[in-house]
Amino acid sequence: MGDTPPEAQDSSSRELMEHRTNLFAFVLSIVRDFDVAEEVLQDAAAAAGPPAGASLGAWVRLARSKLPRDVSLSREAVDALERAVEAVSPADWLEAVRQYRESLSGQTRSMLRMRYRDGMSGAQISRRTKHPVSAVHQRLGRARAMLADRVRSRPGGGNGP
Amino acid sequence: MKTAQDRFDDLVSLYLDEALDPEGVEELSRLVAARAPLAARFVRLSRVHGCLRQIEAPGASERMLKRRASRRRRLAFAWAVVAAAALLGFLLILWKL
Repeated sequence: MGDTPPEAQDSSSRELMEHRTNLFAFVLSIVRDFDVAEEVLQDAAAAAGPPAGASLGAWVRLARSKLPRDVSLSREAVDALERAVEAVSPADWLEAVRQYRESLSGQTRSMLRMRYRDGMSGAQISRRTKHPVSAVHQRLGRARAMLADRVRSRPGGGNGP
Repeated sequence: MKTAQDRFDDLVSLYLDEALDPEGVEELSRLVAARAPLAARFVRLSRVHGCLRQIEAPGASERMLKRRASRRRRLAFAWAVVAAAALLGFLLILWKL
């Protein structure tokens, strides 16, 4: 909102950064697209945020109010994700994912690069690698699941719910 | 043989890659809404999805946000020019009357 005082915006942005990992995961789980997720978080940061020291839940509700209207998941599913995000450990996963990614096969790492660096779809990766599209999706999915399981089960890795 | 979790992971993965059909999205929504542990797994897989983007394309989000800010500035400037032209036109009409 344009009439939010700059100092309040700064404070809101700081608090948003504290919750950013979980908020981003929540928004991304719904919109999928990285740029759209970033825009949602930026809109949340620019809005008159929850009061200082507000819980993650308050920020999640604010981010939810900034979601595009045409999300694919049902309202009940988004409700469940909203509850779930508060239960997931806020531990920083970035370095752990980076580390465990190195243990993946060269072919899988190459597909991840095409997907995440080059922004290619599964069909485009399939054409490039000559693998069936179902195999590409399966490989990307297995890689993500393996990384999630390893990060979660590492010591101090937020092996919570 | 696929376990129920494998099946769920496949659904989430296809969803994140924007390759899940409407029936699959419906099934995914149903599972997530009905079972809290699956909703938590969905959030964790989404977090990995976000981390992989940061690892493979560092700075991509910042570049996108800069592009967006620049687009907004250009749009605001265009609106200001249109408003100024309209005001000028209005004043000219008043002056001629």
